[in-house]
Formats: sequence, C-alpha cells, structure tokens
Amino acid sequence: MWRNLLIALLIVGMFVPVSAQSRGRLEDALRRDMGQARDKVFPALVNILVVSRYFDGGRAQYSIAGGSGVIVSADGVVLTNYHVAEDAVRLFCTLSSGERYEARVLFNDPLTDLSVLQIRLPENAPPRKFPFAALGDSDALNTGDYVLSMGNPLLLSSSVTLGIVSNPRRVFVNPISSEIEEAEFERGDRSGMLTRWIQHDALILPGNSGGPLVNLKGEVVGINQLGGAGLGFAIPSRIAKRVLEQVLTQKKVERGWLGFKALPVDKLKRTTGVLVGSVLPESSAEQAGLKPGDIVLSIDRKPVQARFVEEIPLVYQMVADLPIGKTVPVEIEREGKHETLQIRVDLLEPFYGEEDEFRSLGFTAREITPAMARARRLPRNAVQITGIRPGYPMDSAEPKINAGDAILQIGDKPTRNLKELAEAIEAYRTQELIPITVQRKEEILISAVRNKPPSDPSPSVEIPRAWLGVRTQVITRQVAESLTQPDLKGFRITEVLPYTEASKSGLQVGDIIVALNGELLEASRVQDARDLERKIEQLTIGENATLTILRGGERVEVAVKMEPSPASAESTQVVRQREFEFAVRDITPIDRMRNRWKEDQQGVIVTEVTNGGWAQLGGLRAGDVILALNEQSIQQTSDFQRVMEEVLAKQPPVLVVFVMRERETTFAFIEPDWKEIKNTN
Amino acid sequence: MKIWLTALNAFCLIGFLGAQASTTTPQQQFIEKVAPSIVSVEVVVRVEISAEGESDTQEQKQFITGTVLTADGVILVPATSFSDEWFKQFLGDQEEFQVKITPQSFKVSFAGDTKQYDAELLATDSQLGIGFIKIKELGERTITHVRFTDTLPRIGEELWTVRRKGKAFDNAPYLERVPVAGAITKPRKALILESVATVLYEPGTLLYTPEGEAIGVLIMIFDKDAREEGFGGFFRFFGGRTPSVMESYLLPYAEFKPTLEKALERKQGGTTQ
Repeated sequence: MWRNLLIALLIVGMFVPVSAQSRGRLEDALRRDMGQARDKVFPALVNILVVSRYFDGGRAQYSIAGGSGVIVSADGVVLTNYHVAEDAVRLFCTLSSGERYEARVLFNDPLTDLSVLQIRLPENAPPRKFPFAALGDSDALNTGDYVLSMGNPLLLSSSVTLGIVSNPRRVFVNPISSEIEEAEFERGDRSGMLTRWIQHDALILPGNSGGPLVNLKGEVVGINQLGGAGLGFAIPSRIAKRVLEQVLTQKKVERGWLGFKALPVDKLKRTTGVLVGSVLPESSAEQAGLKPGDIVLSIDRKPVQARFVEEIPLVYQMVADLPIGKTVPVEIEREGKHETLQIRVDLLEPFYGEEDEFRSLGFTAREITPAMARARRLPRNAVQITGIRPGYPMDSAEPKINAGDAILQIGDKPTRNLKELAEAIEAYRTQELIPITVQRKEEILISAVRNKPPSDPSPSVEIPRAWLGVRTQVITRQVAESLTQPDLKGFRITEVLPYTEASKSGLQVGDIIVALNGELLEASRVQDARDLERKIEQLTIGENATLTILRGGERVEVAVKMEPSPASAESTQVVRQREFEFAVRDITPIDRMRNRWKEDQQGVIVTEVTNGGWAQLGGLRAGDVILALNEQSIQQTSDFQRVMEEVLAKQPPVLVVFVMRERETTFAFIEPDWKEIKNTN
Repeated sequence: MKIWLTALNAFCLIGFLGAQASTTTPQQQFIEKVAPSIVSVEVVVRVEISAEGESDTQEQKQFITGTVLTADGVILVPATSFSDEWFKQFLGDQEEFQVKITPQSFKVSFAGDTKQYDAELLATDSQLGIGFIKIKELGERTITHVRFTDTLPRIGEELWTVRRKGKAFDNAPYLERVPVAGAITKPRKALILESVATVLYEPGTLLYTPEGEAIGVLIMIFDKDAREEGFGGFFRFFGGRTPSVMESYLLPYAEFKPTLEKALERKQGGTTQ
C-alpha cells in the first residue's frame, strides 16, 4: 500500500511542474507575438489633430479634436474614422517617431464612418516612404482571438491594450422589433447599415477612434470606432479595404441602392430570402412594383438570405456592390407565387446635404437631400435653416423664422441649393427689407428680414466710484474689549493693496481708521462693515480725503487721494483683432495691484479669445499678457495694433506670441489659414 | 308738462355725463401716465465660460423691461443679464472656471410700434444691478419719460408700478401695487417691499406714487455672509425666509440720484470712455 501511494505521489508531482512550465511558455509566446505585432504596426500609427469647422448657434465655429489613424501605404495614405476627420479645415498627423505632417482628406464616408487621408509633405521636401501597416482578413477572426488596440486614448500617444474578440459580427439591434439600430454621430450622420462590427474588450477610450485593431500577426483587422464600459467596436478591415480601394482608384465611394428596407425572415419560420419591410416612395424598387411583405429570394441571380438580423448588413453590402445604373432581376415570392422584377440600381446618396454659413444675415443652412426630404417631410429643392444667430437680421424676421424652416425662395429667386441661396442673398444685398418664403411643416409663410448689420458690441462702462485701496475689518465690541480699549470704534486695515493711492500715502496693516474728514466712524458691529466704503463712495474721485488713524497708540492724520473703483478702472478701450478673433486692452494700475505685478509691468491683456478662432487654436488664452509678437516688444495697445497691421500685410505662416501666464512666461503659436481668413472676410 | 320733461331730460343727461366722467379711475390715469415710458429691450449677450485654457462661447438673446428716463432716450434697465461685474458678484470667487459676459447689442421697442431702435450701453452700476442705455437715433419719434420725486416712501405706504404683458398680448400695461414693508440701513439705506415684489421684479424697476412720480428703484443687494455658508444659502435663496444670497430692495430716489447723475454725465461726455 505504501509503495502504491508513493508511486501515485510521484506521478502527481510530475504533472504539476509540467503545467506550470506550459503556462509560462504560453505567456512568453503571447508576449513575443504581441511585441512583434506592436513593432510591425506602431511605426504606422499616427496621432491625428483636427481643426474642424462646425456650425452652431447660426454661425461657423472652430474646434480642435484628436484621434488616431494608421498609415496603410508607403506614400502616406491614412485610414481613420469619419467622425475624427469630418469638417476638418486642417489636419495634422504625428507619427510615433514624433514627426508631424499636414494631411488632407481624400474622401469621407459617413456610412461606414471611415475617412481616407493623404499625408502632405512640405514643399520642396524630398520624397519619402512612410512606414505602413498591412490590412488583414477580418473574416478570419473568431471569438476568443487575441487582438490589440493601438492608438492615442485621451491624447496619450502610442498606447496599446490587449483583449480578445468578443463577437466578430456584432450588429446593434432593437430587441423587440428586430431592426438594426444605426449609430448616429454628432452631426447626425448615420452608420451601421452596412457594418457588422468586431466587438472586443481591448480597452479603448476617447482618442482611440480611428486607430487600428491588430491581430497577433501584426495585421490591421479593424478600425476602432466606438468604446466604453469595457466594450470596443471596430469596423472590419474588409469594409475598410473596400472603401480604400474605391477611393484610391475612383477618388470616391459609390454604393448601389434599390430602395427597400430589409428585415430578417426567422419570425416567418423561413430560412431563405429576406423580408421587404418597407419600400421607399419614388424609389426604383417602388417603380418596379416591389411591395412591403414581399420575400426577396435573389438579386441579380445571387441568392439572398437573412434569417437573423445579423445577416441584414450582408444583404445591404450585396446591394451596395451592384453596378449603379444597371437594371437587375430581383426574384421575389408574394402570396406563395414567384415573380421576377426588373429593378434599376440607383446611387445611394448621403443623408445630409452640405451646410454653410451666411454671415451677413446671421444664419446657417443645409441643402435638403432627397433622403432628408423623405425622412423628415421636408420640401425638395430647398435649403433648411440649421441655426440663427441672435441679434442678426434673420433673428429679427417678422413673422419669426425658426431653425428647421426650409427656405424656398428669397424674393422671386428660388433657393434650391446653397449656391442659389448665396446668389439670392447677394441680389438683395442693398435692399432694406428682404422677403423670404419658408416652409414650416406643411405651411408656406412669407416673412420679411430687415437687412441691417448688427451694431458693434458695447464696451463695459462701470460707473466710477471713489475708492480706497485697503481691506478692513470692523473693530467690534468684542475685539475692542480684547484690546482693552472697550470704547474703540472704527476700521482696522487688514490689507493695503499695492500700487494704490492708499499704499502711496503710507497706510499700513494694523492702522485703525477712526475718522474720515473729521467725522468719527461709529462702526462697532459686523453689520457696519460697509459703512466706510459707503462714505468713501460719496467723495469725489481725485480729491484728497483725510483719514484719522490710530497707529501704535498715536493719532495720525493721513491724506489719501481718492481713486476710481477697480471695476470702473477696467473700462478701458478694448482692441479687437478680427482675423484671429481675440481682443486685448492696456494694463491698468488695478491689474498690477490685483495680480501683484511689478509697477512697471507692460504688455497688453488678452480680454477674450473666441472659441475655435485661430488665436485659441494657437494656444492663446484670456488673461494672458502679451509681451511680444514675432519678437517685437509690446508695451501697450498702440504697439499691438502696429505690429498686427504688419502681420496682416505680410501674412507669415506663424505668429509667435510671447506671453505671461500666471506668473510664468510661455509662447503661443498662431498658424492661421490665410486662405480661410480671406474667404471668411 | 314741457318744463318737467325738459328738466327730467336735463337731469338724465347730467347723470349720464357724470357717470362717463367717473369711469376713468385713478388707476387708469396712472397707467396712462406711466405706461408710455415702459419699453421692451432686446439684449444679445455673448457668454464665454473658460476653464483650463478651453472655452465655450454662446450668444444669447433676452428680453428685459426698461424705463425711459430722459427725452433723448436714456433708459434704465436691469444689468443682471449683461453685466459681467454683477455676475462676478453673484458667482463669487471661482477658481475652477471663469465666466465673461459681453453685451453685443440692445434694441428698444415701444408699445404699439413695430420699429426697433438701436441703443448703446451708457453705464452700469454692478453694485445695484442696474444699467443705463441710450437710443442712438430717435428720428422723429417723441418719447415720454418719467419724473422723479424726492419724497421718502413710508412703511405701510402702497407704491404703484406698471408692468406689461408679452408681445402676444400686444404688451398691454397693467397695474401692480406694492406695500412698503420695512427699511434697512445696513449695508445701505433701502426699503423692504412685500415679498411678492422681490420675487417678480427685476432690478431697475421703478416704483411710483399713485400720482405717477417715480419714488425709487428696485436694486439687488448681496448678502455675502449667506453665500459664504455655501449650499445652505443657495437653498435658502430659492425657498426660505432666512437671509438669502441676494434680494431686491427699493432704493429711494435720493439714494439713486448720484448714480443717475453720473450715468447722465457719460452721455454728455461722449458715449464710451
């Protein structure tokens, strides 16, 4: 018995170290594969910085955002998400080596949320080959496969996370209606009809958008699009390859469309075909006689099957690949009988039309596409108002015009698109009242807009009050008793503000003000705290006031000149820099006092920086003190104006702004798009 | 008989005319006198909220009520919707974020007139929460302005004011009566009105004697100590009877006059300085 037990122990003892050794080898292999995959793709990873132009509140605004991308060809073609690059006026791609290049958009594809960019080498730069990553086969992915997400989460460059594929063919479904739910991004562009996402758990965060999902072979199998709560979703490389091919060969992506909505057939207890859920009015499907309830069995002689909702995107992908303009046979089953319809393949058009700003009247508008018109019951051949700027002419239309109204014509000029709208506005430029015909739901209204430019902004003009540059506390009864002077009343100085008349007059912390211009101050309670301030307000700015103070037990008379209160002192002239959208003013003694600057501190204070303007994009902030522009010293606003005139004349690629910010100096670099500035003006 | 009939007719006529004369009540006369000087002002402000170098800018439009002070178009308005300084007092010291409010435009409308008159900001008094704007070009239009009285309101006295309904109601004027409930001397001399007024009325609202003379202006006074108590003060502002973060009080004309004179000085000295 003992011998058998010993043998059993020996056998068990052999297996334990073997399991541990296997696990260790597996971990080493994984680490090695990860390292190799990382090394293959990292050099091709880019950090994308985008300056976007968007429309909000009836005007064009600018913002900065970031994301990720991957270079997919040696000549610098980059794949990223459409929601990263959309509306870009400027794009920068920074490689993991630190090199930064400008890029331009080759094509935006909202339907798949993909954008194709081209890195631009600087002028006169020698040609170069960029490191690039290979696109792998997303169809070969299985649940449980290891994948790596690479990108720039939270703008932290070149990060990698590891996860597994949770579902290589994920669609978003309404659980009750079994319909695909399309993802809507900020602009409302919809994505999802064609996509079966790779769902994974390699952590992705804001900033990872557009970055590659990589298999352990170092191939890009997806482009990360969405993430959160431990879930990530990537657009499969199969779709990305298709988009890339079309953009590089045809410079655009076009997809076919028949005009019907597909639903799965499982609930009809079928395994073949796809159910027609609806047929779009005026579509080629409707014209050919397709009806809701029909079962489509084949399209262009290829069998069609969508038993479950996860197969619906495959049906749309098949339709998208049909040659546009060709009429294809579509076999259907209707009430048990088979029939073949001949349906023309139309071009699938984008949902949203182009948008633009019309600054003189203060509104933004968007072209109404046929898809928009159908979905939202909008008129065709019109433009929709997307925003109205408060205080501008369109805002004062009578009767009121709202965002969402469709402009049909201005005067007698139709406004079927943005070009005609711009022409019509120009034609009425000199007219005081502009008649505008709009449609609101089913109503057609005529309104009149008073064509009057808005007035200039009103500067701050605080009423000046006489002011003493000290902070005080009331000598309350309790404090007076503690000082063994129970009859003492007045105000004890707790702070003397620098560079003020109070400091020049020699007032000190600890002085107790007992009288003002000979009148005793009877303050002895907390609620008397503002009495001194009230009395001083009634004095005249510029005149001397006599303060009777107690200092070291002695009564002293101190003469102090009354100066204007800080709020009113800030009502200095503001100089606006229109092209870069910021404003400055001169430094005042109050500024020096508040910020504890040196008495000879010069410069101009930035009072406002318009959101999304070139100054903000260059890093300038409200509160900065500009000390120099392009190495020219700025002491006051007159210097600022002189140097800015030179800058506007010479139009340098960058304006170097040397500033003081919270007691430290730093630089801001304004790099304007001079073409964009010229067009805006 | 004829004489009796004639006398009877005359008596009826006199009675009828007497009845007609007595339908114009003192309240109606008050409204007719004061209402023409109450105007609507459309103000557009730019609000910029910034934190850590990033900012968000919105443009907003608001409608406020103004009162015409002079024949050449100086109008008293509440500054609470456009005064950056006032807003800083309201917010207190905030290190995490900054808010900047810049008025962009003022447009004045008179009741019964569809035309809007551009106005510019003359002066603000952020301590009182009031501002003064001036119409740029009146053209041919003549306007009615208020008259002030130095009389000090007494506790218990009922003061009158005129308010206007919205545009959909053709800005119809109506009377409101506000009793003076008390007086304060700290932090400044002002009068306490019955609570409904302080909730409903904007700073800059004038209150009048029944004879139609402006006797004082509503202002905001901040209770800094209540704000420093933090959230409790905030809740009290909305619900309680205990001291609030800010409340409305009536500043008698005598106390308001120096501010008015300084504002009018700006008009004479040029519109902006």
